[in-house]
Amino acid sequence: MISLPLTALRESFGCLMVLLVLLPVPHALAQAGSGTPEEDIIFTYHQLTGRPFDVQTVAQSSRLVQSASGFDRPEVLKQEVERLNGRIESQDPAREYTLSINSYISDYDHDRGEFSINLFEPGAYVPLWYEVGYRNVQYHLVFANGAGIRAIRMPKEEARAFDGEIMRGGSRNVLIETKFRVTGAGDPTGAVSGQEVIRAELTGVRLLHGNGNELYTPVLAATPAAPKAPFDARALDVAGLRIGVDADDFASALERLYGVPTRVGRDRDPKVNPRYAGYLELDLLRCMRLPGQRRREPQVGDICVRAFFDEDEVVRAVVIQRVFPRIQDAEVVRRSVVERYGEVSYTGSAGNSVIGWGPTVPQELLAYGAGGATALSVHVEGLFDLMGSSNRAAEALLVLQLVDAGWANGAL
Amino acid sequence: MKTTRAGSTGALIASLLALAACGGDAPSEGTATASAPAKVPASRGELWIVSADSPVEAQVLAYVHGLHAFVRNGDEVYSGTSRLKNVDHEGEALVIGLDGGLTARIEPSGDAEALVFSSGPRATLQHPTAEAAR
Repeated sequence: MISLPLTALRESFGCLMVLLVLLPVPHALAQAGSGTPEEDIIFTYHQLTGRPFDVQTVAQSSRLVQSASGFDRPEVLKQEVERLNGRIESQDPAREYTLSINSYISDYDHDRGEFSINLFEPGAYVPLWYEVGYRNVQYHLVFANGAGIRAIRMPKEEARAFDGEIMRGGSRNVLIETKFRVTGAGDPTGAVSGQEVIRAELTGVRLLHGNGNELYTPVLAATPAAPKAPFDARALDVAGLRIGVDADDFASALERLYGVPTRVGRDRDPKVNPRYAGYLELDLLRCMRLPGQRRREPQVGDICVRAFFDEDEVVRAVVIQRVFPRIQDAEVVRRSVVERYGEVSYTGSAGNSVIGWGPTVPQELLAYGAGGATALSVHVEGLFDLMGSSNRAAEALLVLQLVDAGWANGAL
Repeated sequence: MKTTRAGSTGALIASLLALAACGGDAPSEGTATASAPAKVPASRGELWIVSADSPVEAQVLAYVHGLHAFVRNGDEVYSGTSRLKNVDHEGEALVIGLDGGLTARIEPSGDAEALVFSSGPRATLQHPTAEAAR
């Protein structure tokens, strides 16, 4: 059994924009040393996902290689690289790990009739670090099926007794013993971002007091066996706008809903990618705050659109932006788009505030270049008054982008 | 079993971080299909937009589901280059089935119309002003 002094941390989609003070800070993190179970978790993740691991740098900075003489170092380095590669390749993806994680149980929510386990709330993760050369690479371990056991629901009378039980240790802190398997990469809810997000599936959970006495054992639901439908960009829309439609029909829809779009051919804008013949646009500058430009500030409700079409006049990529009042809690956005589009395939690192779905597409074919390059993406940005004194965003811009992945990746 | 509990600093950080998150359900799986490709009527029907004074959560939900600006032509609801497929009557309200198990009701609200989501948020609907329509 593995036991680690871990504390769950949390983040929120778009937190850098509006919740800077609440960003997770490196604290009580588990450093994955050589041969430790944490290292096994990380290596299993790399083996399973095929994501690159900088074996060369790790080997180069190892004590073994550093202490070798200049004469022997090349051979020792080679052996260490082979050893590390062997460790990654030999990991068993079916292995069940056990981690003990410090977390806490919320106060009883009288309206919802439940307690909440902090570790399983959206945005919660277990931080692991791995030293690669002179830098620490952070891994975020998330439990994909944790949301189903987040709530401890019970009637008020029962809750009063349970609350007393929680507080027997003098605080709401609990030790959560988790059993899990590493299953892939990324947080399916898009709430946890980062370069390396380890997805795990819980197989067993127990909540313990600090003295090891059992407090509560949630019942894990069986993982649904039904396969997911494949991602199909042409079956989707962003704020009603679709790809794969005729450019004239697209322009007519824009005109009816928002105003007459401008049509720009590649001959008028040489920066347009050669795979596109041109684009339709509802002034993107309308949705920006530009220094010194006081002609018209963005207004809540403003819509900006750019849609690229190909030589056959078929729309292949669209980006739509809408100006919102300042969004206090970007979790509202994450929850809404995940409920609509389902399991995410990409989450931008903190500050980027991008989540994506579907396969990657060539960056140069994106209608909107910021963030990741998935077929469908959602970005939240703050619109700052650059001439003003406040460092708070005046409004928020919610950007939805959809690219015809089949066409972009050459399947059509 | 050897374990170590988080210190008070950890608890404080965890408490602060807890302020940042707010619930969330498991995502629906597969590609969303509550809308279908369609040509928006060029002149038929009425154009509605969600009022900029509506609560942010309602504006976000409306936008994500394409209901921030739509054309209603009888029982047909068009948004962008899509038509919402699952539309039904419930008394005076028009009920629209959306992705993720959500529904939205377009219903009378005093002299105006309201867009009410099954998850709670409620937006005011209005016809666009000349300025908003450019």
